[in-house]
Amino acid sequence: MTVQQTVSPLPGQGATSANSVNTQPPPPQGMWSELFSFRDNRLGVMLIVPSLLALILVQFYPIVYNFWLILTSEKGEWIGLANLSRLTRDTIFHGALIFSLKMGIVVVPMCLLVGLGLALLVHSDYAGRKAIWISILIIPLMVSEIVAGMMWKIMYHPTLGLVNVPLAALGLEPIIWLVKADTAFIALCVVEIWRISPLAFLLLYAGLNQVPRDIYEAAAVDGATRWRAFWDMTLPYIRPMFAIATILVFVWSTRTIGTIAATTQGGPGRATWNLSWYIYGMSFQRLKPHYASAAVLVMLLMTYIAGTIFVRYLWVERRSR
Amino acid sequence: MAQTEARETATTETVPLPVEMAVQERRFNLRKLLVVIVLYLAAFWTLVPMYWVAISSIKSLRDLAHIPPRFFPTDPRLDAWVTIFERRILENVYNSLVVATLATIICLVISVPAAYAATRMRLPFKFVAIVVGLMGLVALLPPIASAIPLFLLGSDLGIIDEKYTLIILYTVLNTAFAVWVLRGTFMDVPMDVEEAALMDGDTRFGAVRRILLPLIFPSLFSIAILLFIFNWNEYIIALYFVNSMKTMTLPIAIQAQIPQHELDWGVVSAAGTIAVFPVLVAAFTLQRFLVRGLTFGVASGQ
Repeated sequence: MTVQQTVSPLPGQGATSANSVNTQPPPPQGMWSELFSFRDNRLGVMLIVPSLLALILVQFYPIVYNFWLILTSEKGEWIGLANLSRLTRDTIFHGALIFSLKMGIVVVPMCLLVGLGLALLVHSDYAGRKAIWISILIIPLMVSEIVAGMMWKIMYHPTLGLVNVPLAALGLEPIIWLVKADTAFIALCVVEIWRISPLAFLLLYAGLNQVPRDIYEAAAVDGATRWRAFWDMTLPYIRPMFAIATILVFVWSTRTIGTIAATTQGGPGRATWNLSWYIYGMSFQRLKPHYASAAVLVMLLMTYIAGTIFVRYLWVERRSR
Repeated sequence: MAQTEARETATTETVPLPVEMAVQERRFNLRKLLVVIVLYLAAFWTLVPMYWVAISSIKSLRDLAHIPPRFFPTDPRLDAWVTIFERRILENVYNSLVVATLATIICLVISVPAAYAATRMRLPFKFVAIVVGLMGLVALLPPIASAIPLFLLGSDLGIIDEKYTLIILYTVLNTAFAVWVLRGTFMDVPMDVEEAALMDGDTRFGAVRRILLPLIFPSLFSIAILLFIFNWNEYIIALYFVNSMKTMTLPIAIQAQIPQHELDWGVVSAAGTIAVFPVLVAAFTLQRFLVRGLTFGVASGQ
């Protein structure tokens, strides 16, 4: 609908509008008038407005509303920062926050390592049909969280699952992975690495494609070894991609909820509650959306801080070289 | 166009350098063998859970109970598939298809014009920069952060548990991402051809339809598939907004099928196999677009 409405007044105007671009008077100076001087192009603004409305509805409205929720009690009374201070004393929340961070610490480096390794292998001249390898390796990226969790729950099943088969072959007792806190943590980390490392692979592979090949020639003339070429040329080149991959992998690993819902349901006890699961449990199962919003704020801050640190560290350093 | 073709050939057919060729000849067999072995292992690691689920859905009860588990079913049965269809999985598939397809189409209808305006029209630069920057930023926000406010809004309006609510939400949730990606695609197409058409007296709409759309159609198609897969997989919003069979999408149905009884795994395996099938198709369709988009999109975005 919007397309027709906005486009219909135009026919016949094309040639003139293309010519008249240069003849128009320069827009008035000053930041605000520059921001909002739409007179020269109403159509362009009308084309952008629907997306802008969508953005406001799902992204900005919720963030603003979140602050309102945090500052009020479940009955809607103004309580200031009480929700936040309660959060600092909530041991379940501490557990969830620590679990999320612990998972990030394990999952992010592993995903980057696996992703970088695979990217280098697929990018090397020895990998034959690159398209097929890439297609296969990125499949987990497109599998729904809940389906990924379900698949791995079968894999970890003590009798049906494949994971215990090699252990049995070595003569070890089968491990019932998902019922003990420490094995459940390892098991979930493996699921996350399976699910998210393809993202790192894809980004880093694209990063490797950006490296101009002639620099290796120059390096070889200067007598650089392969390892040295990788360390001093490849890595600096893919640094920005590395930063992006690090942020995205971290964000994806903290927002996980489907894999937990499918495998452990937060158990045993509350050993595998992460932030997302805590927010879901508080808001939907215990019906405390106002209190849960305080946890949402912590999660947003975490994403923001992590993003800033990674970008600063990995990006700025490369520029200053 | 010629430029993009040149870029493509540059990445797909990497010409080995003289030095590398020398190395290759010397240690050709061992290196290549190692690389291929590791790649096969990686492929195995990637595919084995999917294979295991597909195989579990056609195992007989005797095979399921067999210890150690069998890698190949000895006596394939379709019992689990019959059960899953009796549990009306087709309704869930239908819901998922309707919601994902409509949300994808509406999202493109909203975001293609926006991306066009942001790249092709004379708008205040700061306005575009701010809008586009915000759209890139929000891609990082976890969906659960918007889930609570949207859920409360939805309950106030009384539109929880309706298919159209899911369609609207999926549409708007993906809009920022879609505009962001489409903008990159549009920037890849040089503007001179369109400008020439405009000079020749073509209307703006005519120039878009006859020149721009055919050029970006492959990318548009890939973006549509990507959005479809996002919607097909969407779980968190559905968790809040689905209450009954009327709206239940496939991911929620699968969650509901995860068994309480020990040997009931065939049924959920069958449901999982259905959910994964479009993903396999999408992965093979999308890989080229994803690699290309990430390679050049990020490079030009800097």
